[in-house]
Amino acid sequence: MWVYEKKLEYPVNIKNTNAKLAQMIISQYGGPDGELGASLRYLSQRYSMPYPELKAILTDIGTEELAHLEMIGAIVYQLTKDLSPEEIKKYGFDAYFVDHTTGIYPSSAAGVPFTAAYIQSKGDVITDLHEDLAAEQKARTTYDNILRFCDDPDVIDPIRFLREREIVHYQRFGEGLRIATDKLDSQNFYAFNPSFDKKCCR
Amino acid sequence: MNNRANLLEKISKLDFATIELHLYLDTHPDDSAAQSKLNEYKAQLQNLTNEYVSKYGPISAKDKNADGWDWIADPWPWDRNCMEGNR
Repeated sequence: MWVYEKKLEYPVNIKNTNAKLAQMIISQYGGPDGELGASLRYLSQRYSMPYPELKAILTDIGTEELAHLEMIGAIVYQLTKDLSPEEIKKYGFDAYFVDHTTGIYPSSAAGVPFTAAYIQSKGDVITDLHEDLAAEQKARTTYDNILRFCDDPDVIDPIRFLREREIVHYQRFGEGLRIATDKLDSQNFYAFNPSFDKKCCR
Repeated sequence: MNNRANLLEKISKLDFATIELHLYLDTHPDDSAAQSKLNEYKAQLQNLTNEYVSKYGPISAKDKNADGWDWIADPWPWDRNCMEGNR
């Protein structure tokens, strides 16, 4: 279960609206490498994880991703608050606006709605951890790309925080992969799947 | 920055340190130095959280409400200047 805390993991306080930037940043809400996909991926994969350290990191990182989802929602909300119809048109926010007004909707920067097809839960510890390592790097690249378009320190600061978390999570997943392979057959990591071939599991 | 924001910032910093150490311990469960550090931060966090909750209301849904049902009180975390409290 989960318990809500009425605070952000890292503060978001953006004074100036910027609808163009909001349209790019929404991708980390519901885009292909966004926080929603990250959270669902880890929280779904954890059921078939064979080792306690891995059940823990997937639960804890999957939970932290929900806090990041909330930060991205707050960034987009504050960037689009009290926009005038003229600003909406001028900054190219009209396509999003017509479907969602200034509500927060999980979609990519190009407007593609969130889909579970962005993620995988393969029931194989090596496969799933490699997916997770790749996911953290893809999210890191997305934040780097967002930072190329940011000149407002109020936006740069929380985006940099989120970017750093991708790197820390990548490190923890790397350690998780090492923990897993240490328990497998060193001659052939793929000799059996410890999540499924129970009798082979040491 | 007002008193409420100051206190909430201290809480957020300590809370972040506990998140980071907790995650580190998931893959380094035998690091007893990290675990004592975590316990130290958790104790500090508990004290500051108690102070905050008694003055300004609940942070977690499990905290006591200070003044009526102030869980519903604005601001919410996504609001601008939310750390400052009601404007």
